[in-house]
Amino acid sequence: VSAPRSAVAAVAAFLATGISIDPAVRSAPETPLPLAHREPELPVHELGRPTGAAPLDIRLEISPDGHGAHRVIVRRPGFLVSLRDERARSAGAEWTQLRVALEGGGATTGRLVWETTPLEGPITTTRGMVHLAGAGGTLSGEIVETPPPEVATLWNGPHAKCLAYHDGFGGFSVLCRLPKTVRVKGVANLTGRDALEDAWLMPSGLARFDLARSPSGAEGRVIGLIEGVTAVVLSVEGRFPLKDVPSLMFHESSRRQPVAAF
Amino acid sequence: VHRRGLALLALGAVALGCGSPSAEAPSAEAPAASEPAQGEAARGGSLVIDPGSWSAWIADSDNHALHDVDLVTLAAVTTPLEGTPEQVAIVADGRIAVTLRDRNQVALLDVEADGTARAVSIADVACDPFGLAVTPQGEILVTSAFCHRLTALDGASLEERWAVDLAREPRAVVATPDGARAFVTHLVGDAVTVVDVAAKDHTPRRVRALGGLYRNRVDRAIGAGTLHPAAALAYAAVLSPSGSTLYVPHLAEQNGASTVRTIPGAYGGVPVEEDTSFASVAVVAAEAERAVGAGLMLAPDEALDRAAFLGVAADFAVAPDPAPCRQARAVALADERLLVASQGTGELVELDARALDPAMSVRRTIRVGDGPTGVDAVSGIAAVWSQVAHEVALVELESGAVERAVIAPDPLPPDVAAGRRLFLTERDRRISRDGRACAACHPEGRDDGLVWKLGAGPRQTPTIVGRLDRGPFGWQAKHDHLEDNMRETMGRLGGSVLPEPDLSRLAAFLRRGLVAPTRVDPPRDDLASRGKELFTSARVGCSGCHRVETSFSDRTLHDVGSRSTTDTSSRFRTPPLLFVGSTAPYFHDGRYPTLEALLADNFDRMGQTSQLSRDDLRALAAFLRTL
Repeated sequence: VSAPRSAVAAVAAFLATGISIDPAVRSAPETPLPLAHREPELPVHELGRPTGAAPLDIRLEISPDGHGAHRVIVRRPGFLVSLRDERARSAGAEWTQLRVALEGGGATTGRLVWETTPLEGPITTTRGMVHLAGAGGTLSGEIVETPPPEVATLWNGPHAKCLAYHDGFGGFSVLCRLPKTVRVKGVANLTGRDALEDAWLMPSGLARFDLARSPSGAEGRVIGLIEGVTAVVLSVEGRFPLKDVPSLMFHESSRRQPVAAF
Repeated sequence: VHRRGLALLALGAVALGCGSPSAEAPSAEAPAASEPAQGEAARGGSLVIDPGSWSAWIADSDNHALHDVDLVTLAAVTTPLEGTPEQVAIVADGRIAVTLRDRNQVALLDVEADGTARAVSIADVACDPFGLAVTPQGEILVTSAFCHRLTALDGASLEERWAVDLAREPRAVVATPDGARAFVTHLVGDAVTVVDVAAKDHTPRRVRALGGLYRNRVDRAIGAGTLHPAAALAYAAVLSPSGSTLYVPHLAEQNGASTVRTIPGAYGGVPVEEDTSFASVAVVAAEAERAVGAGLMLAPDEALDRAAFLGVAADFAVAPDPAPCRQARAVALADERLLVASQGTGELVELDARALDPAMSVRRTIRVGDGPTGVDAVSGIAAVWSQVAHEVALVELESGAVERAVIAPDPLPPDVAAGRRLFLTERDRRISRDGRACAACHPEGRDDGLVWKLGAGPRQTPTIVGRLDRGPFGWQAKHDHLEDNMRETMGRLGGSVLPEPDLSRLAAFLRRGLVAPTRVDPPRDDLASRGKELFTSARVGCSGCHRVETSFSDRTLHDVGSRSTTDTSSRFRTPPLLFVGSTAPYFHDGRYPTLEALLADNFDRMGQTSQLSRDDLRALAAFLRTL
């Protein structure tokens, strides 16, 4: 089950037009997530059980958003922070958020998955959960750590180094580090309803892609960069065929760009 | 070991007096036609591997022969055929089905103990039979390229079960593992056709999946603004073993806009020119019948432009190089490897089948014989048939080791054979700036169905096979000699132009090597006969310019009011009408998608047709389709 992508696209436009907010934070759904009533069945590459409290520098904030829902914010200084469940994903430098709605008046519970990766240095990702409990119009939460994500594959190319994780829901999360010498860089989601959803690029050169298992059967992200006079396209592509096992692949292609004579 | 005489007699015996289907078929050993056979779907190709005997069957169109090649020794047993074989397929009972392109037939052959094949049944099908597939139920599916038809034959008796009209130039056909559907590729257009094989209603559906859909999104996102939205040359296709994914290699083209871009620099920038085409592989979700990684539910193109603006900007002057397989004549799947026979480069190109456009993800290229047209793979081995070199290559996929053997002579005259190589070859900068081959626009001497933006105005690619007997040539009739016309064409494509001897060889191939579709005694029903009367009548006046005795053209310039806003001239040469029924679109700028549309809009610009009734116009169109 995934949130309508139109909602994701809509909130991106909303955030872009008004409120002062970290521009790296995108893809928080406009329609708040209803709090799940029960835990879903664990997929093959499961999230794992909590191993203890989250690192001390991670902070969880939950506050009403003034529109009947709650903002769930996770902060960690010096890290790319991701927050997601099966339906929606957000990420940003040092903090990110998702909006969560309480359905009905009774007590409900749910959970979100957080992951943090250092903005600088090696790609090492920490994962955990935010356990949420709602009752009487209020939402509370507890943040815990789980085993780190299971590595699906890695890419060690001349222009980028990437680690791909099983996201725990049948899809993949990919983190790539670009060299400092890159002159121009950008990322795009080529298979989403919005070109910027589920694709994040930090000024430090760290990129994150979430390739959730999707009904469309395929997820494609691309990093474009120029280093010297060579233009490079790094493609990250996940395929989720109905009858076959999912696959994830990296491919890098480059071409020396024509140079104007002076 | 060649057993030409014996096999020839065997096939001849069946061919004599054969109707559709053959009265002699099936043989006593063959299963009854009504017996439901639930085997595995089998693919056709100019080379198919029989894993049971560890051999490969090869359709050698030059030598009119079927080769049975031992994949250990590469020794060949040859069976001569009375016709030009295009594809072979292994039928469930071990028999071999083969399309005989020039005879408009499908033959079913028994394999003898010595490896030769003996025809047991022959059936007539619509003209120009090309692709083959076998369904799990035992039906043989046949595409007819020029007559654009899909025919289902009983796998044992070759009795026609059903047939359905398709869009232009159907080529490969593959059946799903459950036998429910078949996918058909086309040499022209941007769609594959889906036909419900097992259902009673075989009405074809078109799935727009070609034209580098995903690649174009990548190029747009990175700011490489030269897109390639048109498509052609989908010769081949392969389904994943589960049937979930269909792969269709093809050529993505930019025919409607300039491929020249200007990058910033001194004196106002530097013009750079992108390729007019690149190889692409459409990945189709077979169940959903839609292209993977592209579709209506995605971010619009403008959103990708926005992504490019935010990030990469427009600094990508040219996009990364695509795969070197613009004429993908055959394709096979071996786990994650998508193996493409690249006819224009003489290579087997290994792509990553997991990619959303595998042509963007080249793993390696392996040199094989010139003009590969067939590939199949099994157990870590790929076998490739190269029709131009008459050579089999055996590729060990893990190591890339290649063993090659020539198994048949080249029967073509030397000048024609050399001309064919020139016609097919890519990356020859004498022919075009971007390495485009003659065969990229004129596959098999036919056309790509596209209208190209050229300096003198838009020009529809003309079919040339059978139309080069005499000049003048070109839409403007500028050249009396074919070689002069070719010289101008190569110059217009940015090539440095072939030297005179090579031009002569190329002309020899175009005149004597290209094979026109065979239509023996084209059917002339009452409607077509009425159309012929109208066409040749002085009252209607078609034949005044489209002279019957000279291939339906007076070869002179006329102003028929067809000048478009971008044309530099109003007068165009009367085009020959041979094969006109299957060469849409029409007029020099391709403005009419059908003959009916052309005739309905003619009024009295060509001849006098405004007084004709709707039935008369239908009759004229019916007659034109018989030419």
